[in-house]
Amino acid sequence: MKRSTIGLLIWTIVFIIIGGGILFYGMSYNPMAWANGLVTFTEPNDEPIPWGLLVIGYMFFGVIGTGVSTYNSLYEVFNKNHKDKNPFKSISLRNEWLALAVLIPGWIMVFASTYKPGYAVYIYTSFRATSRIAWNGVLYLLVGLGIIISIILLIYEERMRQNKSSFASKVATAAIFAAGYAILAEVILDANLGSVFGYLSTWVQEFGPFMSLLFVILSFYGGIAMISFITPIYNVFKKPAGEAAKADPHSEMYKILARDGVLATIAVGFLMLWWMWLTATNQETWPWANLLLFGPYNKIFWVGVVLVGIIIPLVLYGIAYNKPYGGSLITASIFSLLGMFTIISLADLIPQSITWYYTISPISPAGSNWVYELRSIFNNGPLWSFLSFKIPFYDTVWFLGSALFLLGVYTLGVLILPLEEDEKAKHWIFK
Amino acid sequence: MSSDQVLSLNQIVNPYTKFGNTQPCKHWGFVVKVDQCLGCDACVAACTLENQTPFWEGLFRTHVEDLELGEYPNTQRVFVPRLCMQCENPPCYYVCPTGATQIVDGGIVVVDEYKCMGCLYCVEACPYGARYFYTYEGIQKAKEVYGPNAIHTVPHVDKCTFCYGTAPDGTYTPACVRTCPGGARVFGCLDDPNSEVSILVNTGQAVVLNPQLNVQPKVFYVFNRQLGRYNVNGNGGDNS
Repeated sequence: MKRSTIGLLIWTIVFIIIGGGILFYGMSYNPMAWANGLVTFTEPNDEPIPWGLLVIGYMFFGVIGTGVSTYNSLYEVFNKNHKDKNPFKSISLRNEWLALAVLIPGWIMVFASTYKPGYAVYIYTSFRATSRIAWNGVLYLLVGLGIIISIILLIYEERMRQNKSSFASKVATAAIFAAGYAILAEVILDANLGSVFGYLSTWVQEFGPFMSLLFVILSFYGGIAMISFITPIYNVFKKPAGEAAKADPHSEMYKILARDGVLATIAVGFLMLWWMWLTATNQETWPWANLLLFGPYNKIFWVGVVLVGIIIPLVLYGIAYNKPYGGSLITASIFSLLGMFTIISLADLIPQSITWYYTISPISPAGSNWVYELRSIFNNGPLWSFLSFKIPFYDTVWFLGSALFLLGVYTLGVLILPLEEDEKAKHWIFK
Repeated sequence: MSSDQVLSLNQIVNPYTKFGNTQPCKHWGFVVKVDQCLGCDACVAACTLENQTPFWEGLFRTHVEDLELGEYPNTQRVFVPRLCMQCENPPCYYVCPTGATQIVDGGIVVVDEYKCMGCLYCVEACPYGARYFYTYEGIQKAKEVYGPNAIHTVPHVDKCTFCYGTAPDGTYTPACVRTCPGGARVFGCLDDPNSEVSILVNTGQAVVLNPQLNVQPKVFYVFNRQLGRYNVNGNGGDNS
């Protein structure tokens, strides 16, 4: 066994043991009781904001995971007849595995964010079509299946190609269909994740259809960032000794990642601008825009979203495009991921942070103008009150454990699957 | 514990639940006469005992908002009782992924605690803040407080149900209505044109909160008192 393989094996074990151990601790060392909501180590009930870090986390990882797969699969599908032109040909399989690995913490956090994760089975047994979370349950499954089928078919295609089998072209066609199916399921899932916030009829400030669009674009933004983050690091570790001084053979790939990063960042920037414009110019929603632009969340918005999420990545991706270099690409991707986390956090937090005052019917009681008096008072008073947001220890434990588990799952795939171009399958069913 | 057992237990604990309405109804309605509310919180206490809410955590199915309007010496105090609005078009029902939130006879929205997974989507969706989560800790404490008569057995989202299920044949009056000393809470059938709730609603005296949301609440409010015009400082923003 090679020394690098032993190192990877150790890291895999460390990540899975530590991550799994933290998750086990999060279950109060009793998975059955945890699944049935019979443990005390859950989110405190007195928090004014019910949806915290774990909801933000499953949105974040879900959108990135689907984005990685969608972005990768699009290049796969549209280069079907001239695969050599696909810049990600050599890392296509690795990207799909990355997508699955990133989705796993999302799935974990979906369950952890509920009080009784085991009861999620009712999503499937008594499905309610009007619920966005019910659709999330179905779509997450469909996306997971799509990615797993794509991975298996890509591995078999490579194996058939190496064996010069006559079935290679048929498997390749099946792989393209699987990729197409995965893209479709992923885009719908992203739109649905946005709808979880946007669909609520009582959250007028979130603009339901708009959130779906924002999340689809964010999936490209986050997917490109995640590939831009992992690929250069992976290439550095995989680079044979003594080749450090040579030109990077992946510069063309980096250039395309940087170009797409610029485009995705511009798209996100435009959508954020449009979101603010719509919100600030609507009578019902202007206090919400005010909260972000000038109120208690203004620093998070201007620094976290505008500077970290849009301006800095735009500059760094631009630099990486002009001079393809892994360092600037990684730095741009880190800022993008931070920016995306901020955007999703704000989309989750703001509506919960505001308690709206009540208005009453415009119908005036007979012989009284009370209604108009009350409206007058409310209109002169504060339109909202600001609730505090704290991250409970339970959320921190599950977020950390899930993220470490992600790393373990990713390195496990690198160990057991033939993710490298021309790598021969050595393990399990792929041998 | 099955729901039949819960119902039979409730009959033992609350022998007066059959007091009041004697006809089944498709649309139960509720009217709050704000000016007759004394702010005594008897309704809150009655509801707490009837429905065994986790009062030790400050969580109730109904509460009374104490609004102070104006500035000294031109002030006025208004008590606004709040409860689940039993919307005809309930957002909480539409967002529930497991089917735990259901609309039962009389148009009442209830939660099946054995199907609730605790995702809190309904808590987020409710525009009136009428829902809370009954935690595992709360359930354990309830067993201590209410002993063998405890009706809540698993963690779940809890809410006002107009005391639905406290009389299995549908003949009942909510505990808060029975208890209110000022007669501020009126319960009845909206389908019956002669009921007090129908008269108050149909004559335009009773109005709903946040009508623009189109959730069509079945809890209405009557305000007969003329409130003075007060100058409340602030032009929008954080008042915390």
